[in-house]
Amino acid sequence: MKKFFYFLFILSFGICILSCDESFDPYGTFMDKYVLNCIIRGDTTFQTATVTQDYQVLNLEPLSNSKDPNIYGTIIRIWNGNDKVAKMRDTTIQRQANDLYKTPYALYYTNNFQPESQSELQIEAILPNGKRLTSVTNTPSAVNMIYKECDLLIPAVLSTGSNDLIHYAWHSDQQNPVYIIRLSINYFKNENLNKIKKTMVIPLNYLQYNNSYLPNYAKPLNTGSYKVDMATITRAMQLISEGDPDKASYEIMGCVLEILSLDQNLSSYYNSTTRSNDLFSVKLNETDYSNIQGGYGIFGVYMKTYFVSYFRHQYLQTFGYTPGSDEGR
Amino acid sequence: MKIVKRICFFLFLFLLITSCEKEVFTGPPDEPPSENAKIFIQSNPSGAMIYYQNKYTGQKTPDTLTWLSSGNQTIKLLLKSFVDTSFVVPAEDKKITNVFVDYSLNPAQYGNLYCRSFPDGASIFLNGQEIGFKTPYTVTHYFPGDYKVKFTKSQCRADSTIAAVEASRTLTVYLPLEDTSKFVSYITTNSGIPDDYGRSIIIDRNNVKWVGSSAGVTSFDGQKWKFYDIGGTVLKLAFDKQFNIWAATTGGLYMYNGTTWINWTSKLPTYLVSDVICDDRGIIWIATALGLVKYDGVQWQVFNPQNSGVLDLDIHCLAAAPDGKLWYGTKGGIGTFDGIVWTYRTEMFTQISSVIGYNIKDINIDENENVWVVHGQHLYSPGGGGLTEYDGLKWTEIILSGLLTNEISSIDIDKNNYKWISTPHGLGKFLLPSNLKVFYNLGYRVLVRNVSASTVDNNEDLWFVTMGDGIVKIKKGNY
Repeated sequence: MKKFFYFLFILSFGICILSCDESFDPYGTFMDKYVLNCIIRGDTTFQTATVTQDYQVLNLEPLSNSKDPNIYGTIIRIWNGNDKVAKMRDTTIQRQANDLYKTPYALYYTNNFQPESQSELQIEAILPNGKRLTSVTNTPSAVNMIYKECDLLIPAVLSTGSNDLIHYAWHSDQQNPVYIIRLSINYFKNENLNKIKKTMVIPLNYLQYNNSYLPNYAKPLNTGSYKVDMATITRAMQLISEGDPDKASYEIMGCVLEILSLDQNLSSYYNSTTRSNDLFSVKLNETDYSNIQGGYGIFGVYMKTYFVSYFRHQYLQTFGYTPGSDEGR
Repeated sequence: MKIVKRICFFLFLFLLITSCEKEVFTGPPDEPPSENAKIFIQSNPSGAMIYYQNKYTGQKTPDTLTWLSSGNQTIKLLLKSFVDTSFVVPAEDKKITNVFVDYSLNPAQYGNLYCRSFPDGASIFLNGQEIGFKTPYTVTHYFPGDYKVKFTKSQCRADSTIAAVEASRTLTVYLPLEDTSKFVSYITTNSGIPDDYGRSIIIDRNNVKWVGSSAGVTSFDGQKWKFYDIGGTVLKLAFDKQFNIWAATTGGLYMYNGTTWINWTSKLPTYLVSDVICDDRGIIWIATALGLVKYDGVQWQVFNPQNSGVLDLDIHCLAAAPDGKLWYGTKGGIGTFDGIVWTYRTEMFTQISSVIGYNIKDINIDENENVWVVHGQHLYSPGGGGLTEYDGLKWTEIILSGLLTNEISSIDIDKNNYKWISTPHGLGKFLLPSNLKVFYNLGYRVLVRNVSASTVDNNEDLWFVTMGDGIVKIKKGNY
């Protein structure tokens, strides 16, 4: 009987040990995941997309990966409705010599697709292994400037002070909109009888740090208005020719406000990357917003709207610049 | 002992079950590999747009749909002019299913053509083949596509068009045929003329028509049109005694001797030539913007205010009288030259009329040696202009009450002494001014407007050229 117990004990002990005899992998089974990124621009027919895959490294340094995550040979189609479709062509771009990866960068493009306003867009990417990534979005509503609330002339009044503001306002029917703003001065620099077109971006304001001015650019907006003070514009004007005594060689054309109106997907993405609970919080958690079915990535669309303001000649002459356009005509 | 055995057994069972319980990975389970059923679709005709799941795939036949799921797949083909074709294909993983759609086997993919003409009874040709029926007639069961439809009928100008037949539809082709029993119009789209802007027309002894236009010179022997590009706009054409053809153009003076065009511009003081005539002695007279030029077959002689009685440099028009006298018109008056004596007059025109001006546009002389002069508008009477007659003794303003306008571009006189008045709004004909007959339109498609010049050919058909509406022939007995 004792022999039986010994035998049973040894058998159960052996089974317990042998049944768990397997090599333990801290990463688990690696599963291929794919990333499709495509941001449709509403102001052009040229559109691009990229397809990449995730990768695994054997240490804690993500940049130690040397295998190019770009995927070639994907069939990408974009639909605007059911009948308008564009098949993207694949192309490659040579990487720089010091790039982490040595194979050319894979890019998909079409130069024959411009979305219609307030319509549904669909994207489908079929990878070489048959994996299908899809997404749907809707083009945002058009942005309409509220002209009576926009300053066509800069400064708005001649006897302006540095605290006076330049106003822009617009409206759109979109729910929870996000706008990305860029205000810039377009000008020409005359050099050896050649006119070179240049742009100076006007930030939201300048932060003075020691003896230098650091630009503080505007974050994405949720409201249809933007204001910038004259001190910031004046500082940007000064930076155009700082150190150059030949002020008259600068021909100032105008001030262009570009408004990118993002669709719901891009709005959500921007909100997830740039927003925090309050002004004093620092966002540390990793953004993992995705609207791609079957993988990760972003499929979105934005529309671009322009508004041009003109500088008063008297204001330009305080810098010594040459007016390049009529005042507000 | 039994209890010990049972405890040992359950202990053994518990260890066996729970010893390997561990959580290594909590992510979503890996997805099964994608199915790759393929459908290769061909069609006749090819080029049909392939729709899958009611969305255009961006592919056209012949092409292959890949990475499809197994099972029945609904495909739709769209092809311009054909009705949509939908079908279900059983697809199988890792296999290619071939589909061939032959549109020609589907009766619904055929269309009809309803052929109509005015007048009825025209023979119908499709792509050059006569089908043996006359209008009105419905041609049935034709495969979609473009067909050249042509109607022909006696005493009518044949006409054709391209008809795009669509599946399951009846397309009406209606062509009103121009009645050519009384008149025929020639324009760039129905004949060999290079442009529709005629300026001058003359008929040679072989009844060949020679037309000067903005493009050059065109001849028509009744069958074929022949175009001569000599450069510049041809303003006037004339024959000399040897039946050479002289052309006054905005680019110089040219002569056609039956084989080649000779450029005589270098003999002139300027390349701006407005008129050329040949008088009864065979002398060629050329009107230029810098004087009058005479060519007697040997010598070229230029007459201008410095060396002659020509008082106005810019000569517009010329006419040769049977008595050998040359008449010339300028922007400021009218003059004559009998070989010795020069005359030039301006003032009498304003004395006889308040609407005609000094500016002389055309001169012609009838068989009674009366001189007919076409005037531009009076300086103080915009829109005016008109016609005067000189009977050798006095000047008379000719009032043509049937015309819609005083603006006359030219006067031509036929061998029956009829005067033909070309105007922007019709063509007038009279023997006596009181018997004026005006042609405003000649029925469907042919408006008589912007007439530049006219003449009657050897068959007594009337020909006139227009600025914009080509050339028109009115057959004998209809004018």
